[in-house]
Amino acid sequence: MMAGVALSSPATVAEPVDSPSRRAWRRLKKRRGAMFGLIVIVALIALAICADLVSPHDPIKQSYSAVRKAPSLQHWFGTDELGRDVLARIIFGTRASLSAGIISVGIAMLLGVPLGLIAGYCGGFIDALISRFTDAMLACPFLILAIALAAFLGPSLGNAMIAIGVTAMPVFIRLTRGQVMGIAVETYVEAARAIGNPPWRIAVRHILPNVLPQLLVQITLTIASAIIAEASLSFLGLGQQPPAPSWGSMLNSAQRFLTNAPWMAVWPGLSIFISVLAFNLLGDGLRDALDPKNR
Amino acid sequence: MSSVLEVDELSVSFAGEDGRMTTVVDKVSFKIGTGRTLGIVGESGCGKSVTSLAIMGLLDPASASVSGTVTFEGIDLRRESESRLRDLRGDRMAMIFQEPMTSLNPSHTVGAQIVEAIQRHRALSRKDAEARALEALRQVSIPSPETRFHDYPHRLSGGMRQRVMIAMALSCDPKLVIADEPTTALDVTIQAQILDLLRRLRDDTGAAIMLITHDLGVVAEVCEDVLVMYAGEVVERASVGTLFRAPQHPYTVGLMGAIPRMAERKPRLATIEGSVPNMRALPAGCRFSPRCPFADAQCRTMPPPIREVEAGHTTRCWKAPLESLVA
Repeated sequence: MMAGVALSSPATVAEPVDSPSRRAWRRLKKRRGAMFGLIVIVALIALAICADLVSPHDPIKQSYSAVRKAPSLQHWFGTDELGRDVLARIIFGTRASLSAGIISVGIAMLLGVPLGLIAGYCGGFIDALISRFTDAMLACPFLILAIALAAFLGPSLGNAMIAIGVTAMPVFIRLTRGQVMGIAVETYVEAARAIGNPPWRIAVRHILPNVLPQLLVQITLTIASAIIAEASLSFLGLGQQPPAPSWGSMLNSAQRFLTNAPWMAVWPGLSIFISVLAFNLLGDGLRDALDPKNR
Repeated sequence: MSSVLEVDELSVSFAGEDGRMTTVVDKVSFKIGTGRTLGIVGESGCGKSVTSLAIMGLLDPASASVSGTVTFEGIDLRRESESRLRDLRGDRMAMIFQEPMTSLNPSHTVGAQIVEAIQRHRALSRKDAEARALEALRQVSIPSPETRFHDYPHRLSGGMRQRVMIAMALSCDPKLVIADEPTTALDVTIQAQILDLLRRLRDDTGAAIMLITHDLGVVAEVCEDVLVMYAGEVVERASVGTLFRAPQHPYTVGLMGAIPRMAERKPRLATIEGSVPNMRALPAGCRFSPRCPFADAQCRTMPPPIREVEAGHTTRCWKAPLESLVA
């Protein structure tokens, strides 16, 4: 039996702590798609942070002598209708897209998780109120609601993030509420009550950590939708304002030149595609790695 | 003998979906003396666990309505505020659950969970609380407690986890430990070890134990007094010796007959005919009468009162003492 083995080893030797997060990481590492996604995401974040260092040109410097030039050695991705370097704009556009994805999901989480926790744990009237509110918000299509909110708040990247964050919030409320209701009936929650813990402590310390795995998956997948939403809002002129670069607004100006300057559309389109794919791949991988059935 | 816990006419009802109340625990009364072990025995669904949750005040007031009095060390628990009850829970009254596999939080290390219980009730520094938690792990004979302290629950076997639960329950020196089927989910050799441990800890700490089980064998192992419950009622109460020597309720007799013995080879295990009555449609007379081999007209129409057949031995049966039936 294990007791015998454990007794013979010196008690002071600490085994590596096999925490749930470490085990999930081990499983995640085995998934190629997820690791590809993770590497792309890390690269994109690095690119966004070091944009000033890597970018070959100034993203907003116009040049009337180099309007809509095809990709060349000087302009790898070509130039746009005002002679700006497309590669530089793509690199700086990463900032807008990633920050919109991450900050808006941050907003959604900060609002949604506490509300879901309260709804799921308190139940009764409070739950009914929060849930009906969530249902009402989910009844509107995601993008329509984001557009309406962004138009109401006024066009700017910051307002677009708020609009996307608020629109993505109900998903987090619903997910957290459902998870909390499932975990609240676990014996260990009952045991936590039996040692005299007050309700808030049970919610925060005993229930919330067990919701985190599902939240992490949802966060990753929602960042992907938020990136698309930001691109859509910027495409419509409700996000990043010119001359600051954004993949969405680049697509908007490119549509007029699709036949004679397709590079203007291809690169931002490809950027959106790859970053969304990366987050989705990571999200799927996380879902499998964190699946409680695999424990 | 001073009693740690006195339960008087405790009843618990739940509202059904149609709004009708179902009484699951019906006027249960008993006492547990300091350092004594009381076994509560009965089939699944007879109200054992609900009784224990009601004593701890852990039933949701929105769905369960509780009446009667529960006096713990002179404190009328049913009249105390929730925050006062929280101060008592885990400190002077502790609970051990049936499922060791699910009663520890998978997100925290074993040590952190015991430390939490200690710091909830004792103003100790983290270091002192950790030292005390380690001591508790040693007390329940966990091998290499320093290592186990930093382990997550999934690394421990069921028996080890139950030891951790017991260590947590005992970490604040409770006066009363309620153990709800503490050995049911464990295999037989581990069961014996855990029972041994409970017995030793009772002797060392002087805590009273309320042991809930469906297994009369477990009762014979560790308890001094027994309460037999059937369909939400107490049907018999006696000291262990008396109960096993001369059971005075046909249900208890049936339970004893259902324990398989190595010595006698029977083609089939003995069973009690029939099944537990529907709590929403109880028989008019004695609740056991539909399954009782001795039941007559009186049994079927009039509910028997609980009465004493000899000193310290009470039963809820019209026919007691049962010896008269056999003679």
